Amino acid sequence: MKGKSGQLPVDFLVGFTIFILSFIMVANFVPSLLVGLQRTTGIDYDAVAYRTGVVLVEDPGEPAGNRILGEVSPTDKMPWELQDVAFKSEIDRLGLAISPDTPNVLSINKINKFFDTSFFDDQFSSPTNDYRTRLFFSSYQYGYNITLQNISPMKPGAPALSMSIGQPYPAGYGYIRRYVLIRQNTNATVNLNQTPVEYIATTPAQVNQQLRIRLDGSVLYDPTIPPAYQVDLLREPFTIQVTNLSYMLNNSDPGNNTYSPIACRSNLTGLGMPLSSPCEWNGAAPTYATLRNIYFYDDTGTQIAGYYTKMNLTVDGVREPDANDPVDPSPLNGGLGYQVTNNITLDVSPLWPPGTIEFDAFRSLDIGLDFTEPSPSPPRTLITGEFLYDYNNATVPDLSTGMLEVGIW
Amino acid sequence: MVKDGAQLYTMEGIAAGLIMLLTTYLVLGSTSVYTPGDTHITDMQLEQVGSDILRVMDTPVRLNNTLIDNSLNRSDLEQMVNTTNGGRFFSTFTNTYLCNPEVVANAVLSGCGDIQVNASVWYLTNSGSLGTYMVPNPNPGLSSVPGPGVRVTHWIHTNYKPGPAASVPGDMKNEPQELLLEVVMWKA
Repeated sequence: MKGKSGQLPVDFLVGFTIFILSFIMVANFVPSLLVGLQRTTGIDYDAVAYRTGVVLVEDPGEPAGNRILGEVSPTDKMPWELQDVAFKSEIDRLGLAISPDTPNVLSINKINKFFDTSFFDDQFSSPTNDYRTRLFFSSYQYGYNITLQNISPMKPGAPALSMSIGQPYPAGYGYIRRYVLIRQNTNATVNLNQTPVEYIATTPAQVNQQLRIRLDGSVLYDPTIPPAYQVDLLREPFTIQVTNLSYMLNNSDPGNNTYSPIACRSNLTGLGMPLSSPCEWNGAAPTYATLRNIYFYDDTGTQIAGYYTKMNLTVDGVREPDANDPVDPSPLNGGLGYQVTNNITLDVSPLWPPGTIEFDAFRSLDIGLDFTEPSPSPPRTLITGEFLYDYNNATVPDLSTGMLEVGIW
Repeated sequence: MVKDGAQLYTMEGIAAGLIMLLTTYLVLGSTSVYTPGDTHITDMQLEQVGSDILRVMDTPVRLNNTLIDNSLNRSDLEQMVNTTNGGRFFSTFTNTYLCNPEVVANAVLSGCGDIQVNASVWYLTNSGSLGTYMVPNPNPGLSSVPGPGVRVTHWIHTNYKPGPAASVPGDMKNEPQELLLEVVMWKA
């Protein structure tokens, strides 16, 4: 102000105007300074999606059993995909890889368990959401969507894979896509109508009325086979199908079946009658054999008490004992007593040891299907022999390709 | 700077104003991190996808023989590279995986259809030096990279004399070796 006139001096006005103009210019600068920080999504959503994708695709989860496939030590915890719901708290981390040495190769059993929302809590707002505590490891409540689908076909007879957990994608989200290979379970068929016939007794000494399935760990876990291709029966369920049992029946009419000679109990006790001597089986030819028991034998051939693992049994297309339950081990002593005309399907659960280790890369395990008729009845079937579950006899499905997507918001 | 009459000296006032402006600018600038938008995220995603595709293509889907080095156990990628089957390589890379229209994705990589791919292979020559060739691209317009792209590399183990003589460079060493496949992806 100039004197008492209240008038501003010109030079002050000039300076102040320059200042204001410059200030306005700088104020206009500021937003452009921050452009680099602007995002359409949250600052760490992509990072969390990436991290989650890595955990799922490259990690086997925790617990994962022994790091080396085929080996088990008593301190190894059961792999997470085999845990019952009662032991869900044992699961620390969810990963889908077969082993740490097989990134991008996923186990179909882990996939099925991971996407089983009746096992894991998938409720978005639930404080016990299992995926947040075992996969995202964050106190922040991320929204998520994880989807897996196959690109190349799954194994013959298996449905296409299209699995998803979480919520629909919102407008802004972090994202990662991973391409994977999917390892599926194995199975084997013992066709009893094959030539040459391997599974029928031709002398009285051979008649033991039992078919054994040999699971040889040293064959299955051959170290020259890369882990991605090893048949890992410790962690994978498998299926054994026995077909055409009718060809093994102790048929009293040789003309009906050239492979089935006639055998009487008296033949077998060494009374001097050859196996092929005419003899009626209780006056009529048997039309079925009775599956009395399923036994497990350890590496030394000693019978293991009880069932080593759970099994589902299907006899001639009918699930026994009913559609939901595995074979009940309780009637072992009394016998199963299922009449089999032709086919038996045995779905065997993974052989991860329930207690004592009886199967691993250094031990073999036999499963015996026992048809022994109680004395003095003659045998209904002349079945015998051993089927080796190996890479030649079992069906090992090709790896299928697939795509895993992780969305985080 | 100010007279007894509270009047500003012009030059000093201007200088002080400039100093204040400069200070303001420096303060604001020092707290900001310059990032090139979201491009690094997209690059990371594309790089991961490319790496995964090469890994999947280089894994045999079955084991035909218990010996992994058996020639029957070659992966698709090894066969494609050994026979310089560029058409099959680019078709598998792009159509089967990167932009497969039959695989319904929840999110599509931005401009998937615009992503261009080329590939080159590095190998050991008879003289022990490194040789390289471009994987033949059936689309002739894509033989050069016009700008910055995402680069993905993958080692391919090959255990036998690669392919028919006419399909690979004549100076490639005839023994087991590791080939380096380099794939460059960019947005057209």
